[in-house]
Amino acid sequence: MELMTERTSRHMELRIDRVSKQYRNKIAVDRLSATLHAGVTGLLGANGAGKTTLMRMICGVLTPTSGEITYNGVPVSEERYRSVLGYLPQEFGCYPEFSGRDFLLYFAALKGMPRNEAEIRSEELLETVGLADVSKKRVRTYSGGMKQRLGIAQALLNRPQMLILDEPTSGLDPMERVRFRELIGELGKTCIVLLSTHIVSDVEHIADHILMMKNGQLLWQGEWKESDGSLEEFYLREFRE
Amino acid sequence: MAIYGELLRFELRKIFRGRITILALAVSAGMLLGIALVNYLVVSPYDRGVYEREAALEGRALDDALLAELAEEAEEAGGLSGIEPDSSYYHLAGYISRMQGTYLTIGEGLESETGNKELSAESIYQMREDLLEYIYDYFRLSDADKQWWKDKEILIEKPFVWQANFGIYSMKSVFGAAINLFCMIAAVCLAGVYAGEKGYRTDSFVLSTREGKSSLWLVKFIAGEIFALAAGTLLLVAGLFPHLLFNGLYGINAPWQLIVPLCAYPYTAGQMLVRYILTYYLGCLVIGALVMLFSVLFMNSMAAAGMICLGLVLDLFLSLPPYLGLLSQLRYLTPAQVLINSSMADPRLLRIFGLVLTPLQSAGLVYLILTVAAAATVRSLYRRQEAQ
Repeated sequence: MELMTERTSRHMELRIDRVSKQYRNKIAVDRLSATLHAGVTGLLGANGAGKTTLMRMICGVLTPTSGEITYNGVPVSEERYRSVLGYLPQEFGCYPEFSGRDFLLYFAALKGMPRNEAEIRSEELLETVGLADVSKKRVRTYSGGMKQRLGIAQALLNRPQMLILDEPTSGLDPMERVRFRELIGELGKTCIVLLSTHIVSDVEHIADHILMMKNGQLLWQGEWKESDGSLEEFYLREFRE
Repeated sequence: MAIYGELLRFELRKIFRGRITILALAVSAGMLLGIALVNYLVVSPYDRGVYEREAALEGRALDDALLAELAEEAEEAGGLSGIEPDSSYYHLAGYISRMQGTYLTIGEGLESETGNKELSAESIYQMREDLLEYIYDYFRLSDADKQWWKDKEILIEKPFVWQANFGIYSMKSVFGAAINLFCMIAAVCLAGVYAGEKGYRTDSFVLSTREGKSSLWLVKFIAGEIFALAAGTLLLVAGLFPHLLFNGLYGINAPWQLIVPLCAYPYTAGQMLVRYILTYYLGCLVIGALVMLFSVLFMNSMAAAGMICLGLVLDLFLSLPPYLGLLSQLRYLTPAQVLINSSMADPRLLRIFGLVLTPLQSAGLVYLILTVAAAATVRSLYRRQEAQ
């Protein structure tokens, strides 16, 4: 299985096979199946649709009640899968005593990156997300948007083959949202990007593939082309039904 | 390996750079330092010359002649307890009282057991032997264990040769105070080692990384134990420093019976202090390990710290009488109980695989086993963690 070797996007495949997650009397994800390939996949759904639960299971930080998720045949619970994973959770915090730079270096070490490589990559990403000039300031002095950008940088540290972004643009100002949409579109050329949002315009122009979730189930999935019309109108129509 | 070193550096920073950590360490070390300094600088101005005056008794055997002088002083003062700190016999009087079991709190009817408290060599050595026998019976020692201690008693030279030991005696009292303060520091500073990730909401990040779910538990555990040793050292040094400053290592070669009269350890004060230091550090390790175990078990810093505070209270008030056998013996192996300042030593021995272990040795072994068991449990619990 190609997992840790060279980046060959044609071989990237994430398979979600009849995955369910049940919490006592609530089914958060219900027998969901999908296959993702390189490119940006937009995951749309209202709050409480089960998007975050699904993403956590794809990241291997939450165990499904049933079903299986594999990346190139490797179960997502395995360490070698986590080596190629980048994850930005919907809600996250930072270590208040760390500077932005330290935060990235710490996660680089957690991702198994040697110190030299980690330093170069951190500088590069701090530049990309526009935090280079405040990289030595403590994270507790950062605004919400700055923390969000730091989180995005963290997810990209190890040049992931599988990038899971849970509401990545929340907290960003309109200019930053546009910048990050473009960045995500670029990343989608070389890896699988799963982007969750409830704002349709965030994925309309960059997603190659759309998954729509409602009440833990997959409501619709497929490719969306400009000739298909407005995704937002389609989304609203599907969710009203 | 370099990655683990890097991770360890960050984990240590997380623990050491918290404001609460710095504050807790500074306050605790300051308290120990202050209490020890008060003994020398504040309490009684006329006490300061007592060490020089006591030097006159240095090297004298605790025999009838010396005890007669003490009896004369006591008569004038209305008893041993009436001898004032400015007397050369002040510390000697305190020692003889301890040797006579005055401060013993075990059992009832001790007065009748120990008979009269006449100040003669024959009387006080006999009284010490009677008291040791009484202690062995109180703790329900088997004949073999009693004989084991009696064989050690033979190795102790008598009559005891008096040597000023206030410094060593005070140093011994530091261990009990330091370990209790350490418990509180560990509860405050280590409860967040694992639970803090949830508190900071970084657990999803961490668990999705390569090392986050595999080796990070161990790196965190090692960082916690390094903190335990460092904090333990700081407290011990703060408590011992004034004694070392004013007394140096004076009395380090005195027999341990001059510090703890009612025990039969055939060692010098120096040899026993080394054992105390080792036990203290092993105590720090096991307390640190237990706090981290609660941290990963509850994933809540307050709950983990609360468990340690509950343990401290139980250790203070829970009494298990000796007739409960091994249960009672193990209960009194907690660091605070083993290192407590007392005029007697718990004589209960532990026999394992043909080895005979004294309470200090048993405690060390139990702490090691508990630390390893805690580490194994932390590993198992941590690997089952999921993002909520």
